[in-house]
Amino acid sequence: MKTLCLKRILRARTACVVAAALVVASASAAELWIGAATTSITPDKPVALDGHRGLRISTKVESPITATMLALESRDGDKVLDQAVIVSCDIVAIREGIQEKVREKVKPRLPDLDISKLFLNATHTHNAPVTVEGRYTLPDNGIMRPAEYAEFMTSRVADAVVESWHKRRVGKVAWAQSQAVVAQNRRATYADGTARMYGATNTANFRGLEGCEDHNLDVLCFWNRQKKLIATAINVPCPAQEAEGGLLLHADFWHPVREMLHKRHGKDLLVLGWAGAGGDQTSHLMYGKAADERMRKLRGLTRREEVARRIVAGWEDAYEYARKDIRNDAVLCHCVKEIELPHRKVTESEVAEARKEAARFAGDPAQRWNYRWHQGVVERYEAQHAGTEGPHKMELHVVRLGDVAIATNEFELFTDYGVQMKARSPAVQTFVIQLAAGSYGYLPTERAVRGGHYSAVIQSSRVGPDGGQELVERTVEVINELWKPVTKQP
Amino acid sequence: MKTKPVVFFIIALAAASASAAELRIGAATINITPDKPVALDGQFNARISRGVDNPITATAVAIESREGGRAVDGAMLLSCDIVVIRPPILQPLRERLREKLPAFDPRKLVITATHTHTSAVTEEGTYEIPKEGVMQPSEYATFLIDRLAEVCVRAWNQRKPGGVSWGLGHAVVGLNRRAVYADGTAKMYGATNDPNFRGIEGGEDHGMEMLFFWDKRENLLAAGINVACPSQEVEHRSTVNADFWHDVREQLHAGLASDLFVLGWPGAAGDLSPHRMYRKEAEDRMLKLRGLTYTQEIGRRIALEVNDVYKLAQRDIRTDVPFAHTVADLTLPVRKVTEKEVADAQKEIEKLQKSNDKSHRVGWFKRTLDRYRTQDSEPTYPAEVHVLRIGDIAIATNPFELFQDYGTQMKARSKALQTFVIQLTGPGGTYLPTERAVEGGGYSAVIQSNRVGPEGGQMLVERTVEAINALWPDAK
Repeated sequence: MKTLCLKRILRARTACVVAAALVVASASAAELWIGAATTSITPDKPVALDGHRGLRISTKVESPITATMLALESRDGDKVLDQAVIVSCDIVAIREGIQEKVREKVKPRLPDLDISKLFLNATHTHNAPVTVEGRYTLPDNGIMRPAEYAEFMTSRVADAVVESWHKRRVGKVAWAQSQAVVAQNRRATYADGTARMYGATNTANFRGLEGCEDHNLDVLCFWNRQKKLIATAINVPCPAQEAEGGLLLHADFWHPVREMLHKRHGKDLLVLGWAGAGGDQTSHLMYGKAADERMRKLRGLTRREEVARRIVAGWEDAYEYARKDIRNDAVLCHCVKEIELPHRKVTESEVAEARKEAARFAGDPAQRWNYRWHQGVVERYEAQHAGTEGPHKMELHVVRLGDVAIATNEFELFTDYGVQMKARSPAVQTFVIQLAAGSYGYLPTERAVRGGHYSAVIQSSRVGPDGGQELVERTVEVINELWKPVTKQP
Repeated sequence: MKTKPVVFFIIALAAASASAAELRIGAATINITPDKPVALDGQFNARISRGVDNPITATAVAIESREGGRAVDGAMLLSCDIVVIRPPILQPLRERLREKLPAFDPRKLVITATHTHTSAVTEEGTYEIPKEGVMQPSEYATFLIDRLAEVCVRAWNQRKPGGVSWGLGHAVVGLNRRAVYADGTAKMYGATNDPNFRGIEGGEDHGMEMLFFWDKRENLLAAGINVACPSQEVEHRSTVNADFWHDVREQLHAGLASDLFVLGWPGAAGDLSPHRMYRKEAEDRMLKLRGLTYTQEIGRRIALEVNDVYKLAQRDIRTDVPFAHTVADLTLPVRKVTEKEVADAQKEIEKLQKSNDKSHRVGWFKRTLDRYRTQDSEPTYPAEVHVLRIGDIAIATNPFELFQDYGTQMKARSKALQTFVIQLTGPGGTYLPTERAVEGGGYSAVIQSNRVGPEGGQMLVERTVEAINALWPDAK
């Protein structure tokens, strides 16, 4: 199925730009059709939780995990101009096979939807189920296995996609930006030039945080014809992993965000959580924890609720003004493209260390994650030497919606790349969604690779800085294509 | 002759104990707007003011700690809408305070510049200024010293028993202004839509530390607001303007208390400014939708947080808190001028002289040559540093445009619950860059911009952290 999809994307590659021009040209006559739905993807049995080295089996559901979908179609009369279905999922990553399964299930049920225009993104909660076999050594009984969960989850998502598609009606859209201080750069740097994810900052050799942060909050709001707010997408350059760890199943900070918005704007409001480029970010504080704790105590909030409070405050601030500039003829143009990114080369010293570490973990089933982490480097090295590795083929989605660009990537993308995309984009607002349409590990910057440690070492990153730059160039190129001035048709 | 940098500390006896004390608090504000055209400070080119957009002011909060009916320590926290505290201001002001306030130790005056680039020049010799029709820098300095002395005296004389509380909010104001490029170079305000752009050099600090002062009846008297951003959004104008602090004050006066005294305190932000490095079109659209200028927008962001946090801080007012004020005279190693930097400076001077450049760029380069000649005999740079403990918070000052990483280090290593880092306090005002900034170069990290370099920056951190943590002897 993946091959079929990719072939379709490849065909779309050349057609993308031409189609974009046509769509933009006829935009003035277009109507935007909008549908949205949500579904619970909470398992009803214990599951293995994804995202950490050690195996964790869930003991309880703390908050539901959900998938929320937004179906968009622009039409000129009966003519379909373009389509997009975006599904935000409370899981750690869109692992291999998940998006394909959803497409497979949706395709026969929605023949009028170009299935390549459907993509999934992950909010990156570390307290949601594992969706692929083989990552951990699992107990034989008493849990829902990853394959079983993947089947359950993709069926739920497919049903809700169909629902959202059928629900689409003529609607309106608006966009705005505000700010929310959520993410903090999680890589501490030291006097000797090294860096460390979540490294101590109260030591004498601490020199600063490695890179910048992006505290912008990009917001899209959708209304139906009756002027009812039906859905919103919130792009926060921060993965949802504030309460990572533990054995509870939950949606991290997106759950209180939804709860707070439901309280103010009705429980029917559908919220899509989009994680922006934040490979080097989390909401974990790198310093100032005591002051934060005191403020939360005064407010009576947990840390997750505090993050949500900030997001919702920023959202309200954006929403207030988005409402003043609602568009009913926003152009929709969706380019799906397969791009090739060079793999990061494994050096001799890296493979030597990886071999040693893999051998250390090989015999211990409890260390399966660690074994795979190192063994993967060995296999990559061998493939590189055999000449069989080739470039990484990434499915890139770029959506133009009015003055907004939405650009995806499948990485935990370091912020600098997202900043480059935003700075070079001609769109008024550029939403960068990481961990979308696939999953391919961290994508660190050159300075991060120099500093080393988890998230920047070879084990964490299959594509390196040269691939990161290529990703920026190709993304910016496609965004620019969608903003090219169109000569008026006679 | 090479001399090893020496660090001198003058530590008030009260600092050692920082025992709980009753606080007496007074506050006042004064207009420091000149009534004639003045030369405006902060840019290479001379600008003569063509009017006043809004008043520039100075605000003082006087604190006296008392134990058993006896004064044991104190501080005069003074924030001024000027670019930098130039040498002609501080010493004469202290002398004046010594005369007028015999009970106050003038060393405990903590004077901060908000860094507005649209206020008057206070030192002769930097710019070529017309002699007619313009208030000269020395004349303005005299006027300013009079006004600053007056506001301090008023604040001191109004001190009454009161309370303090503190809080932490967040506002996105100061943005890192150094763009880095594929070749490893950096540029302040460099283009970010360039294909060679690779990212922003360092971080930002959007934590907003707030210190509230209350009277006996728990009415809000004054607020110290620590924002890691210099006040220079409208820095190129040729009108007198207090920049975003004016809007902060206006919005707080309208929403919180019309008689609130606001101390604007810039945090460590040598590499930060309010200027947008990207996303300008989106910001402009939002401003249009809101009907605001960008200084008003900054005022809105700050005032929103103050309004939010003030309500929480009101629940935790303390009237009997540990108070200590340490003043340290640090001598930091100067950044050494290299032979190559001398040669480059000479070339630049020749080029500027050939083009008949009227700005003070020539002086900027010439001072580098002077420094090269004296750096062996004068290897250190003096830096007055104040460290205060007020209850659970620390206030640590420095006279630099201090790159944010240093502020982060101080905050991360401080034993205080909250640490206010206030830059541009006391005489000074030069940039203090990090090692990565020096490697990248660009204005603010080149030799001409720095009297002290990364080595001195690290020493400043170490000494400041030591002084803070000495005030929390029991903390883990």
